[in-house]
Amino acid sequence: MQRLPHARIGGRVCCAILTVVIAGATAFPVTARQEHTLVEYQVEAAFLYNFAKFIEWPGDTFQTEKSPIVICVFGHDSMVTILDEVVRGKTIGGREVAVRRENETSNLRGCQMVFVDEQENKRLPLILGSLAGSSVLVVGESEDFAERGGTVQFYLDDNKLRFAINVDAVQRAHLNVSSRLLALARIVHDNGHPKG
Amino acid sequence: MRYSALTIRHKIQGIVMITCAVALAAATVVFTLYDRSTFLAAKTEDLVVSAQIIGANISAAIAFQDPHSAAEILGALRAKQHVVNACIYDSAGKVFAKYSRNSGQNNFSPPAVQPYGVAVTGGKIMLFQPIVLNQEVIGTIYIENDLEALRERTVRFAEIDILVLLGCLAVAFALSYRLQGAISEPIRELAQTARSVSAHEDYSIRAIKRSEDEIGFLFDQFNGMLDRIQLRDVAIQKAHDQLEVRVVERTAYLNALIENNPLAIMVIDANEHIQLCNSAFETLFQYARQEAIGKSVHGFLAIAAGPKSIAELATAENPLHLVTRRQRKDGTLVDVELHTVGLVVNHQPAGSLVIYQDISIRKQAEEAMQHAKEAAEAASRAKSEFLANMSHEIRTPMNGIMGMTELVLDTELDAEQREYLNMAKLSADSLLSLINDILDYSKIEAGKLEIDAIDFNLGDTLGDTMKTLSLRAHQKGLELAYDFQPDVPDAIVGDPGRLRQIIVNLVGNAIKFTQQGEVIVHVGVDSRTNDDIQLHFTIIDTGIGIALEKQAAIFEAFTQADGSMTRTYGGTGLGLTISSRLVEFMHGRIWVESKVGHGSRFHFTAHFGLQKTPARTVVPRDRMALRDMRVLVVDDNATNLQILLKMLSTWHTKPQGVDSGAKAITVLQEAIGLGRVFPLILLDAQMPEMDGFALAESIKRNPEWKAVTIMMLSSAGQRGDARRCRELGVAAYLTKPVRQAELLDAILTALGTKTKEKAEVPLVTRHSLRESGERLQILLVEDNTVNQMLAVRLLEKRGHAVVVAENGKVALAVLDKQSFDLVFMDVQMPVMDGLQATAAIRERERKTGRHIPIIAMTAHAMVGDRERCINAGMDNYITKPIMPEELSNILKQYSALSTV
Repeated sequence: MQRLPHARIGGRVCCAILTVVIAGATAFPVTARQEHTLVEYQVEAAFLYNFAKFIEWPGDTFQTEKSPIVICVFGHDSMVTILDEVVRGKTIGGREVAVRRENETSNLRGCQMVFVDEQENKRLPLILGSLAGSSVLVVGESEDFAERGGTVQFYLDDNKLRFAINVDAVQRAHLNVSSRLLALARIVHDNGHPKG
Repeated sequence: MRYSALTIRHKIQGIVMITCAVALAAATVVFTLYDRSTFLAAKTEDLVVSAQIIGANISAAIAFQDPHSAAEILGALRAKQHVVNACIYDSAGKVFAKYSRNSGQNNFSPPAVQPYGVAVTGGKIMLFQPIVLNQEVIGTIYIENDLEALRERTVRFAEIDILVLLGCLAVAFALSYRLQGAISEPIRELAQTARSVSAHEDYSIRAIKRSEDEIGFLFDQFNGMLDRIQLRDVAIQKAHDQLEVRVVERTAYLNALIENNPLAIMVIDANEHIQLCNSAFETLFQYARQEAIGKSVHGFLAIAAGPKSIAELATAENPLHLVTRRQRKDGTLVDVELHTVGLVVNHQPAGSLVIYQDISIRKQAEEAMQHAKEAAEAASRAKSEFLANMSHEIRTPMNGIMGMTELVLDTELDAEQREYLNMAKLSADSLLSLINDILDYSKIEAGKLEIDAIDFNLGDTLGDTMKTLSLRAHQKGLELAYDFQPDVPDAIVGDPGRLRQIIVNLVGNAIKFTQQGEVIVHVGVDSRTNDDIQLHFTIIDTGIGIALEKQAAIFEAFTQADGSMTRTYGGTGLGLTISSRLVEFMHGRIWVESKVGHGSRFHFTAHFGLQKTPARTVVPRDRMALRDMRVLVVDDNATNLQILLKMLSTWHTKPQGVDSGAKAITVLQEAIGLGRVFPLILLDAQMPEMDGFALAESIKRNPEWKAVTIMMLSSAGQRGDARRCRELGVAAYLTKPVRQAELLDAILTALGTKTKEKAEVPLVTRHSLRESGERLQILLVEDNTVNQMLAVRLLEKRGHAVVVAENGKVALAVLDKQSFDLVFMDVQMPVMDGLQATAAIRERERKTGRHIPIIAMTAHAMVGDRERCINAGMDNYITKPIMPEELSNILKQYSALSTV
């Protein structure tokens, strides 16, 4: 088993920096993580958005053809703002992308993707519990997030933002993840049973 | 070997081979190119598909910023053998991941992103294609494929092509080699036949025809042609034989033409060697034909080496004709007339043809003639010079004769003596004019005549001339008149003496040859510029006329219209000759229009200058000024000196004579020592040792004698004398013999102009004297207006100035204001009659001591009238009606008197 390095992501966000133009989900070298937390958030936001492109949700997830893909941010204000900035005006597969802030686990079922802030890590079992059986992609950034049942976990590798995917969680959620995405991800399994 | 020299067999084979080769080459090239383009299209398609696959696979890696994964995906290209390099750019165009087949060397530096599409350049295919994710271009893929496969394929194709080509050509060669014979063999056979025909000149050989196509037709025509040639050959041979006979005949004829030519003929070939000559050539230059032919023409007949020695080498464009000399074999020279022309044979220069004619006899005759001509000219010149020099010798005694005769005529003589002397004077006048003519002519012939250019008055000159001629005209009962066109100017520049001479000659002739009728002189203007005028004079008579055939001859020397004329009318016959020469000198011409029995019109034109300031000097005519004046006369001829001294004495001067220039200087120097002066010096121009000009020059050079008036008398007018006189400051220049009256006028004019105008002294000559000399100031006292008009006309016609007074009282008043030379006085007049007036005039003159001649005019010549008039103090009288001749006589008498 390979230990994922601990990802320390600073939570302070300065609203003023929102004026920075965020051009799509690419082209931001993820280096000097501690000094440039805004950039880290921006990259994470872009990754979140890009995940949506490589994932197919089961047909019954959406009420209509035009129902938006909803990304819920659990407990992190800054991320909401930044992500909202990233997805504004974008569509994926004919669907708009909406961003919502959630603090109540009971509301998470209406989301297609949930980003769990590091501070909310202690509530993870609760979150995962409330989402059991639903087709929601759960993304986190804390250590062992994926092993603990999260679907996708961010981590830093040589100062670059990478991600791990818990294929067991994917299967549980009935999500169809593109092989191209899987090819980029470190594959993990539940509770220290990594495979491949 | 040139194509045209190939055999027909080779040509046919060559054509077949080349055609095959070109067709095959074109086909293989087309196929190769087609294969290449399809191969490229397939390759490109393959690349595009690869790029799409990789682009799809790699989109996630781009989206999640994973270049490592991207590079791994790109690594899949390793399966494609010919993909050399590949590269992924992000949406900003930055390289995201790259792949190189030669990754070890890592020398691939991706190019900048270019527009999407395929480009085949530099031996590789380059593909740029977008990478799309979620309908969004997130990057670009670049794949570079080498064309090694294409190259290999092309090489392989080329190898196959060459093999196919060679194989096909081998087959074509084999086939054509076998099949060409069908065409080439008959032609070759025909050529063989033709060759043997021409080789043996045997026109009986025939070609054997084997086919019915065009070649068969060719055989038939060939055989037909041979038939005709065979026939023609016989005819030509016959004609040729005849022609040769003719050529021999013609050549012999042409040779005979050259050989028998009386002129020496030489032909020079193109190499400048003598090619041919004839027997006249042999005779002329004494060379045998064999000696001349083949020799270089250079130096052969030449007198000396040099360019002139080969005048014979002419070109066709520049034929030469010259008279020269050529050397015979024996070295003697012969005068020849040489014609030479370049020979041109068939448009090529072929040397020269030279013809010599012996002209030694002609040359001798010419030389003899030239000598004779020169001798004759020299003799003629000598004669003319002799005559010109005779001038002096003849004029000196003539001066003596005429001067002495005039002096004697002034003395007391009885009627018989006076008549004889008058006849002697007339004879002397005739002799002088004759001598003048001859001397003029000889002067012209000797080239010594000079035309003066002095200011003169045309009207006065012509008037005076006509006046002297009118006497002769009136004696024959002829009317003599002249008229001027209004535009004829008076003040002109020229030679009035020569003009007068021409007029006298022509009018004199007209009078001479006219028995009745009139002689009229017209003067008109032909043309004029600012300072030059051409006058046209016409002398019209009603005389005997001149036959047309003689009109040309009359201007030649020693000719009158008829030899008999000389006997009938006298004269030298030189007048017209001299006139025509004088006219030429005046840049004019002379001609005549005449018809026998209908009179003649003599025309002449002459150029004159126009005076800038037509001002005339007024000459005081006071003879009293001469009284007691010292005059020095210098003349080496004792007779002439005597005559001059005598004349001067009659005018109450104090003359002193010396016979040489040296003595004159001595006398002048002595006179200064004694405090005397000689205001007037008369010089003879021709004197031994120191002549008149030298003397005048030395006198004028001395400042003490500068004021002296010098007059020059010459017996031989020399070219430039008048000009020299002007330069020396000589006041007058007269030609001997000098008449008494003329001399007096000259003296008074010279002195008068001298005292009046020192700045500009016009030279007094015979001509200026004529103009001013005989013009008398006349007072006419007459009460009857008709008589006044008649008398005034008569007097003015003779050139005199007339003032009219209607009675004696008026006459006295006029005389108070003005002096006159002569008074014509009517006897019977109201207020104061002539006798009273005369008495009053004489009374007044008693105080002054002067005496004005008074001529009485009486209506009736009654006995006692003359006595009454003389008693009253009158000098002479004429009767009314006034007869022109009588008036002229009186005027002449008193004109002379007034100057005596």
